[in-house]
Amino acid sequence: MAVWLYGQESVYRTIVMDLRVPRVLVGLLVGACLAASGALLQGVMKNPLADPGIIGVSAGGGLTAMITMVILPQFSYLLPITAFAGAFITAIVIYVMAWERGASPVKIVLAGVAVNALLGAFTNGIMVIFSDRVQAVLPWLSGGLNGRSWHHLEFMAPYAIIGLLLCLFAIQPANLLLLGDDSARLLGQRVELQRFMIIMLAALLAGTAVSVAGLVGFVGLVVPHMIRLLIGEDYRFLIPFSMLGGGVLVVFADTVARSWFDPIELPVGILLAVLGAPFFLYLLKRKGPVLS
Amino acid sequence: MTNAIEASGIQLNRGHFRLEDVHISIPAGQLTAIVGPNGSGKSTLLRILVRLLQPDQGQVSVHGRPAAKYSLREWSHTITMLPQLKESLPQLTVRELVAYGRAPYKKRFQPLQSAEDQAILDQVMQWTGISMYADRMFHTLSGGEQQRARIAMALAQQTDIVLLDEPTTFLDIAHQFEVMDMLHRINRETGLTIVMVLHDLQQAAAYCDYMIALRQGRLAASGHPMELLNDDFIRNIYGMNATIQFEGKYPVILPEIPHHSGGR
Repeated sequence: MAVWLYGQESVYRTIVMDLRVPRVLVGLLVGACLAASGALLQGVMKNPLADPGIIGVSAGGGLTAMITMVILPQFSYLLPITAFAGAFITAIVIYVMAWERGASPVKIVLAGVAVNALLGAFTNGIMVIFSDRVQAVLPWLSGGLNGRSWHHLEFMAPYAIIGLLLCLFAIQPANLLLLGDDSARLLGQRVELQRFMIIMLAALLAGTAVSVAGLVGFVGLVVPHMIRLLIGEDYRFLIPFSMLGGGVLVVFADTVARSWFDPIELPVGILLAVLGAPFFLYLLKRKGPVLS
Repeated sequence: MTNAIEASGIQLNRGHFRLEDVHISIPAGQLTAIVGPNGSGKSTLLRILVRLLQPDQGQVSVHGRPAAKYSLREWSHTITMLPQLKESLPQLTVRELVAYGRAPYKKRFQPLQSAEDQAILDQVMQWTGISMYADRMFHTLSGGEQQRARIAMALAQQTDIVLLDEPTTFLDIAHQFEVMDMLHRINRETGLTIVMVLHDLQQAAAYCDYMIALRQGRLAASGHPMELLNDDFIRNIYGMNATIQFEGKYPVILPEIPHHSGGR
């Protein structure tokens, strides 16, 4: 509050309004998108380990971002768009590869592993060939909010808000898919179409987050599990609380990553992995329902 | 007597799952049992009857109308099936689970259950005797109670026909009879057409009005269970020797136990 007392020209006002506020808002949206994406994927893929990486969002976004920054640096201002396109197209490719009289979750996971490995090889190849220019890409690859400003927010907000609102339509189908494909079909659901739409929605959400924040890991995996432990599997509650939890976690972790190691700013993705990985191991060891 | 379901020339060949030229008619408003040895195609046939599986050849008609002519919505208002108790269900209260049965009637932007839905849920939970468990978590119920809750969900769908895949498997004997009694009562009170895959021939004969026997993917026999069930039937369908005695309406199958020589 004291900030406002310093008047228009205050440097604090500039810091808050031009650096902190947009960064917090971007963090909130990134976390909400990733967590909602993970919550949807874990349900429709029937796989507790599902996160946006499983449908190729990270690998696809990572590769196109790498190409943009390293090979075509003159177009690096297009980075959010190319990363988003890479993430989304990869998700579609994986889905198409898995299709055979319907795309079963197991096949999607297997196709995802293969496509992820292939794109990862390309990314690594580019890193080796252009090793002199890789420096600029590393923070993006580990995921961070450093320097995210109003124009990043302007880029992502429309996609993020549309995606988050579309989640409302995914709630009932996602709940019915929890009963199993056969039961959902017998209840009059178009299971294949719904699974496809929900996966595309998850790709939209995660692609949006990846496009501005880079490869932020673990939020999509861990947050929905935490929320499930607290309030159960019902998507009516799981989706909104995951959004909230994801947003809060990313902003909190980013604040810690920014301030604790001053003057070095750690990419938030690194801190989230450090927090998230042990927590996930704890979930695995813990008895009781994670996602049956 | 009208038929609820007619299937003609059903042909399917998918590895283990095969049916050959199966013709069956299932009477409306009655209890029908589908029996046969393991791997004879009972569950496969059930999945074809509810359109979960597309046969290579043949046609299924429901109420005299080809199954393929039904829209998804019409279909889900007409016929449903309770799969075997295999897939684990999400953590829900009993009432939440049963309420899923109302999904085919839900309109978009209408998330809350209408008063009509509520009344239907109350009724089907009363029929199945689970009203007192309405707010318990499903997974804390005993096997028999869980099965009744799943049946209540199928009933909440308000279809004319309900198919059940081995509704009594995994239940102890008291719960088996409880479920059979319940289904029999619901059939008599509401005229619901019920079709069950059953393993217990004695229960099938005691409770059902009609029986269909499959063997190696072919229709082996069909008719009134009391007339079908005899020593030859057991030999032909199951390839074992046994005699059948009736205790009132209840058949008792006495297997021929070979006397092994030797031992102590």
